[in-house]
Amino acid sequence: MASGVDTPFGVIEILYHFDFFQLPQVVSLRVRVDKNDLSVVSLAPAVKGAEWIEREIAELFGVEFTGHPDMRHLILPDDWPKGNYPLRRDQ
Amino acid sequence: MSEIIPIGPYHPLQEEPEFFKLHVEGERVVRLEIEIGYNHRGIEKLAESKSWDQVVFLVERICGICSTSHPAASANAMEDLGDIEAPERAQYIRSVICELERIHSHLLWLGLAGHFIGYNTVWMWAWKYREIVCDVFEKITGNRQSYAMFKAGGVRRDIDDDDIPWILRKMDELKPALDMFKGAVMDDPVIHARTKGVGVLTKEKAAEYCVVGPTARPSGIAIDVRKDDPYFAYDWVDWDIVVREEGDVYAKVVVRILEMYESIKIIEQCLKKMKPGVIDLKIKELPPGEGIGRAEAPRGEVYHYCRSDGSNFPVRYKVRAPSYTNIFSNETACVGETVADAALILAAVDPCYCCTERVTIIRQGSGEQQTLTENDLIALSHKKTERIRKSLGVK
Repeated sequence: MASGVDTPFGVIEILYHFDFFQLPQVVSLRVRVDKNDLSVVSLAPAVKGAEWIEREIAELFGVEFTGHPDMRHLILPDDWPKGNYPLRRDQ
Repeated sequence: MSEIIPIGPYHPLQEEPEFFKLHVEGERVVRLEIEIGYNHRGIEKLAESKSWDQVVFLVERICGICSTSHPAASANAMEDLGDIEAPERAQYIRSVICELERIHSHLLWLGLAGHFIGYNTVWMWAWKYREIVCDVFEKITGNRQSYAMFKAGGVRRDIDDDDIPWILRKMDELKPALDMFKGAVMDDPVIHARTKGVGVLTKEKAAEYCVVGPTARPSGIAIDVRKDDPYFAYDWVDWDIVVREEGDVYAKVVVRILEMYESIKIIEQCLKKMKPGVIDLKIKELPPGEGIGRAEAPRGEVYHYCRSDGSNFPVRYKVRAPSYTNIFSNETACVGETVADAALILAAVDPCYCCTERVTIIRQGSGEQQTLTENDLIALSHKKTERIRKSLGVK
């Protein structure tokens, strides 16, 4: 589970929320990605369940996940204009 | 050579259209591709233009079946953000609403699962007894669906003390019905033959795909937000998590049926323990910061993340529904099964959609195309049940 957040400071934050089995807490790992170099190493090869959410963040924010096995569109149509990211605030 | 059977994306029964591409070799499914996004409504973006109070109403519209689970997670997220503790009576009322919803949702699913394997009597019965739950909802909230009960810091309506004996009586009415379903599923050799060992999701695969709720618990993973990170009144009442080890469709049915008993237990205890008191803190504003809210919906963990800059509108609102991870797990659960079982396996995670509208069989190479309708696919499933019935000598 992860959330992408656009900030006014030229960075996109990705929050990876980790839930530990039967422990009453969620640990959120905050990764700040500069808008000039939107590239993060993908978690999907290690955690299968991260595959969809990374595809979603990629298409909504334009973050590139390197090493992701399947980078097709998840929720946006295949013919969505390139370089148009719905949840970015600077567009 | 494999053939592709596309299932979906639209069907009148499902509120979320999804598209499954089954790669088959003969009768066996060898690979499954899933495409979602046919119903992307931009609710997360929309939430940024709504006030905090309106967000609760907005997220209630995400799902029509588990309409309370999203407001529950949303209230949890906002209370986490504002460091608010809702009053005790409100917590009890919230638990009652959430558990009633779980019963109604599981009954709805049980009915549809019955329909898929050709047990239309189970379908009619399940939906008949679901009416009892809807009546209770109407009495408490005024609505049979979309109850609009939750808000940050409390609930909107109280449960009248005079209604409590009536609600308890209704719960008693439900118990013999559940006993009947339990007997029907656990003693019927045809249901055993159709569901046992079908669509197995192993414990390792379940962990790998991060599945939640009644898709994880039948695979031996005792994960339940109500126990792991107790919210509302779940810590103050006595109940158990239902876990099975098999991971097949049968285990998924059994887990859901037994969970309904636990839900009734929770409702009865909540109604008996409830003391008079305030139900709403009347929160005026939320501070800047971040909040995470979790709730156990009928289908699994709902996850909400919100960020506030201190204004009346969220800066970011992220929603993760349980089907998001559960549907993905079909990719592995379907492989090696027959086409007649695929509809049942896809439906077994209860992904808020039930069967398939149209199926097109494309034979690779020849380009020959054959289109099956939803009824054809259900008929295929019914035929298999009939075959099993005959071979077992059951009428």
